[in-house]
Amino acid sequence: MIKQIPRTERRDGTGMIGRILRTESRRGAAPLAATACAVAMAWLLVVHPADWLGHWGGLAVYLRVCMLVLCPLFLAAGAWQAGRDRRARMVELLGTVPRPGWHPMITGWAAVTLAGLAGLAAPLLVAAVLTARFATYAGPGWWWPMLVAPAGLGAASALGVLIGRRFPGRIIAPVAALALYVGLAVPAYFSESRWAVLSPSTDEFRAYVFWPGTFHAWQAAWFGLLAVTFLLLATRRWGTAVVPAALAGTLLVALPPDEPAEDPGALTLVCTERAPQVCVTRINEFLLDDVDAVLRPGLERLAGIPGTPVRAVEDTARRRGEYRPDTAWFALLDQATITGGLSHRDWLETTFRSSLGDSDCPPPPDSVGDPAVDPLWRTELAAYLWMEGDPPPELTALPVDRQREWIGRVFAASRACDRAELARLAP
Amino acid sequence: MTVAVDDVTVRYGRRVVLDGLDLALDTGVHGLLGPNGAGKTTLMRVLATVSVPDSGGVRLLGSAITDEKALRAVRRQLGYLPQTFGFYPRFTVREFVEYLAWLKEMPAAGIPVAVDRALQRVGLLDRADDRMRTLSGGMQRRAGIAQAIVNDPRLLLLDEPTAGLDPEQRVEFRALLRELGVDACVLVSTHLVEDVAAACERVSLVDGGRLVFTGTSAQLAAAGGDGDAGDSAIERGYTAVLRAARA
Repeated sequence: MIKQIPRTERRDGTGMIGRILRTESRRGAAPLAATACAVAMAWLLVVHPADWLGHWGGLAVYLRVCMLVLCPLFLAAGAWQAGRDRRARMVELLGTVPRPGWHPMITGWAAVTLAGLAGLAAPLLVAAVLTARFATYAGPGWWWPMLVAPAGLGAASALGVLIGRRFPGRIIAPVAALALYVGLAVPAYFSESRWAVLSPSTDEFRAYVFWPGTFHAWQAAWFGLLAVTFLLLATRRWGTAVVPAALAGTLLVALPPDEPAEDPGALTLVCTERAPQVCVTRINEFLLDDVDAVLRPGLERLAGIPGTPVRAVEDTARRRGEYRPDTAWFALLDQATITGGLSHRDWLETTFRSSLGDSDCPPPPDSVGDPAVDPLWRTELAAYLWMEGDPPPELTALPVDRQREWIGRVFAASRACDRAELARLAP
Repeated sequence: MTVAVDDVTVRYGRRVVLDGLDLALDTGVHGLLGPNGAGKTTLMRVLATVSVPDSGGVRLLGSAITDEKALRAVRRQLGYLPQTFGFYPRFTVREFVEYLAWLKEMPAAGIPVAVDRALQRVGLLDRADDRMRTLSGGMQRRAGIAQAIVNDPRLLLLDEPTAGLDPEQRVEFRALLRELGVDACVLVSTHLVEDVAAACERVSLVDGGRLVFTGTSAQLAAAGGDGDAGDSAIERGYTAVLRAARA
């Protein structure tokens, strides 16, 4: 007769599961997954520091952008781990053991997923330290988008396990990863679609936009259910897989109820104390000194000229269509360097060009856009150069008072869309 | 009976690999001999619960495997070394055997001791922390034997276990077989007739998917005569039995 081992003895303690998990973490695909994810995350952070540096919310949403690369990596890791038994010619031996096949499968999936997440943690921690040095605003629930990442990445590695068990060839992991990359990249071109929220990768989030926690909880639940479905399918539990698949389908029908809203705290203006004022949003406060250094000379050149800007304000806080003759607007999103400085000073130097064109006059029908032959364009170019401190010789030949009078007339004509006057003012 | 095979037939497509084979084995060391393609490995795979016969009955450890519960109960007391033994090359020897012990649902608390004991029995305890890929072919085979015996199986199936072992290791292995055979039913499939003569109490000879001889090593040796091919009495007996079966 079969000698029955008492149930209590057969039951694994967490200690043994922990040992097996540690072994898988050291000897399976996990170390490779951790290394690949760490390198990829570090690279993504380094090449686009402006997207996250100094912004807690930016760091959280940038991780979601990076999912475009990270999800394929996790999928490849899962597929490679799942194909190991076939590559190692272990299938026959494993077919004689009593433990259900999903036990080692789940252990392997958990090992690569946790290792991949651990790989991400190190560069993210460094990014968090750098952000902490400069960040001037956190905002409510800025970390919510980050919580979706483990669920999304777990679903990606679970899909990899499913694919790896069905198609265990060596080539399948990179091929499937590439396919997922393409599959995730395509919806980015249809970001307006309501289905775009189903993708783990998105660049629709902004550091100053607050998505309610319920939205992220919805997304995490969606990816969690996908992960469970993939794992059940990998163990050929077709019937059981219907349950999470049906729940995921229910979520599809009930798309997130909440809409994003701009975070007023993030968009609060912080201005220099001395006039002329330079103002940035609170999330970019750490850039205020650098911005002030770039814009102040231009503002001071315009000081006292009627109808010209007396202050410069970051346009993130600008309402749609808002026009104020005393204000020059400048863009400051994604302009931080890894050391917390401005990455594109030359962009800011052109700020006053936009203030001249704020009246949004349509170009004249006969405009050729060439300053050499079009007097209207020649006027505007000369005005730009004057405001940037590099006026053309025709203007420097004039006394300073005449130059200032000339720029005032250019602003007035521009605001009135008086093309004839602009053409007459051509130097 | 630990193993009772009754009129088992296995087909691969149109080819009949096991053809109404009967076999009964009890505690002790049993040799399974036969030429290439005779069906030895297929029989081992059936006994290891990897393959399901097309017809006939198999009772293992006194149980007919009728459902998942019975299958798992048998597998807990089964040790198997496949002919093509695969392993995870990055695992250490200890990790590999420990992993298989876990898969065999051994009581968690007993696994570390059982692993060390299995490695000691195959002479690999001093290499326990070496990666599997760094071992020689013979050592890898011994690691395969260690995983097979780690759960003290009542039914141990070893397919070509001495492949790659040097003569000294083979002598030690035979001693291990005799030791294991005291409490368990050990079935050794091999081409090496001298291993069978040295270690197995009983011998079964398969040819063309059928059992053509079963008896003691001495009986197999006695079946041969001076005119039969072979360098030893048991080899001559082996060729004589095959010749008679094919006549």
